[in-house]
Order: sequence, then structure tokens, then C-alpha cells
Amino acid sequence: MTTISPRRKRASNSLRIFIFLLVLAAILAFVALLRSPITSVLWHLAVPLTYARNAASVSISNAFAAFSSSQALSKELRDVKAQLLAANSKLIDRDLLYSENLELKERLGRESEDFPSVLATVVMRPPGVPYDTLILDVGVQDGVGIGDLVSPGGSAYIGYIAQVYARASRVVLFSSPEQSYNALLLSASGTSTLPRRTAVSVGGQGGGSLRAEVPAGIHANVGDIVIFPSLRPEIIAKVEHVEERDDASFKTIYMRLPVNIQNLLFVEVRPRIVDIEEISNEE
Amino acid sequence: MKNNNRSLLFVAAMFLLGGFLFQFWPFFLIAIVALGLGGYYIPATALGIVLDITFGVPGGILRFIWFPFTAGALLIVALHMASLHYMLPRTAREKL
Repeated sequence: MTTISPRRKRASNSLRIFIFLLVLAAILAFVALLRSPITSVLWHLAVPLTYARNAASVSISNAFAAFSSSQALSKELRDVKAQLLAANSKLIDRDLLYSENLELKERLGRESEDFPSVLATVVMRPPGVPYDTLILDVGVQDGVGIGDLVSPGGSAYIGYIAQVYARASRVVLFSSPEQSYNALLLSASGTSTLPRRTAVSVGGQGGGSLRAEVPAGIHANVGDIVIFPSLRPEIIAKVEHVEERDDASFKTIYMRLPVNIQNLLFVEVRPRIVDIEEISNEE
Repeated sequence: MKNNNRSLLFVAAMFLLGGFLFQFWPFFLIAIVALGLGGYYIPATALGIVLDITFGVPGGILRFIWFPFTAGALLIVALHMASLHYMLPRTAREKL
């Protein structure tokens, strides 16, 4: 019968742990050096899988929709129709004002550059991916570059391209924690038809929400919008709540991204390098 | 391999599948914890590396970690290994 002394057994265990850590360090060093190409290959394989998953989830939700009562469905349809009507009228108004805005800028000698945009499918979105990011199915091969702005449509923007792979890219949302941006708060003015513009430093809080602090004297109301200082209007957030205390010299503004990221299916990627403090530190 | 370890492997596989199908990343984290607690140290660490490659580097202060999921997996593995010292060995019941 062979017996192993506890001391010998302990030495053997320590050796195994040492070898495990050594191999792990070698793998991590390899991954750190070739992180981008490895991620590119991984997403190349994962994107078709996510398409299949999305198609399956649509079929499942359609199957369950058949169990909804016809009364509830007709009520929902009525509500959606009413919302669509209101949105359409607002859109006509918005298009008219937008074209007028660009025309005025052109007349004043400030021609805004017209960049082509790339349509992308949102492959993964929070809470499928952490760190308030999105994964898109467009990459270097589609002309997407680091720093490009990502829009759900119109003048709204939700984030920027932080990493680009061959056929995929990673978007960091403006609401990503510990990132801050220089923006303008457009608040309604009581005396003039023009909105008041206040420079603010907007910080991400995660989960689609943002936060900024302004002096107590600054007017800020729920529904005000926050834009990037640019020739074209670039809306990045909408004020949801204003926290103000009588004895405080600052008030805190809580904002949300212009769209619900959980419902996003398609986005547009527009070339424009955005001035973000964190961008140079990314990978 | 004990039966309860095998059930933890099954739980981990289910959470992995659930995380992908229901698009909920904390399920992946639970899968790592289940693998680590089940004594599957290498699969837990490998899953951490794959998730780190897939999800990229976080922003803010956490970006200095570079491999947060792998670090989490190693932490679970270390905790499990440390906890083994305070538990009875598999043959202890016979001796008692």
C-alpha cells in the first residue's frame, strides 16, 4: 500500500496552483496583446448566432401574442394609432424647422458638412451586455471608425463607437458610468422665444441615465433637452428630474437618453469624432 | 465527481444558455460562480476570459482591471479553495 504524507500532498497542490497561475498569466498576456483580432473573430462567429436568437425570440413573442385578448389588443392598437398621429404631426413640424435652421446657417456662411451614415443592426444591447454598451453588426469593412457618433434616427444621439472589429463594433453609450461630456442645456426661457443655453458637464450614471450639476440660479425644467455644441442639433439627453434644495448653491439635473435602448433594433453610424474625456483611454 | 458538483455544472450551463437567450449578462456571472463553487476552476476561468474578450474593457476606474470577469472567476476559485480548509474531507464521515 502506498501512503502519501500530508506534506508531500500539500507540495503537490502548491505546484499545481503555481502551474495553473503560470499558464493563466501566459494566456492573459497573449489575449492582451491580440485582444482586438481575437474579439473580431469571436464576434464574426457570434453575430449569426445572435441573428438566430433574435429571430427565435420574435417567433416566440408572436406565438404568445395570439393568447392576448382581442379587447386588449384593439385598445393597444387605438393607443398606438393616437401616438403615431401625434408623432407624425410633430415630425412634420420638426422637419420644417430643421430645414429652416440649416438654410439660415447656410445664408450666414456656415455650411454644415453632410456626412453619409451607415445603417446598423443592434446585435446586443443592455442588459445583454454590461458596461452600458451596444454591439453593432458593422465594422471596419463598412467604413465605421472609432469616435463615430451613433444615432437612433433624426437629430438624437446615444453614444459613440469605442472599438471597431472587421464586421462588428462596440458602442459606448453616453450614459456609461464615469464618462463626462461638454454639452449645452437648452432650457425654456420665460421672457424670450429663444431657449437659454447653459454649458454643462454631463456625466453618465449607467442604465441610460445621466447627471449634471448647475448653479442654483440656472433655469432647468423637466423636458428640457441637452445637446452637443455643434452646427447641427445633436440631442443627447432629455431632463427627467431636477433636484433642488433651498440651502444648496447647486442643483442636480437627472437626464435620460433620448430613446429607450432596450427597444433599439437599428441605428445609424455617422462619422464625427466626439470630444469625450475617456475616449483616448479606451483600449 | 460528486453528484452535487454535477448539478452545479448543469446549473452553470443553464445560466449560460439563459444569459444568451434572454439577453441578461448577470446570468453569465452566476454561471462563473456556479462553476467556481463546483470546483471547475479551469472552465470558470476560461469562461471569464471568453466573456472579457466578448464584452471588452469597462469604462471608468474599472478599465485598469482589463479582465474583470477573469478576476471575478479567480476570486471565486480562491474563495472556494480557501473554504475547503474549513470543510471535512470526503472520507471524513467514515473516520467519524
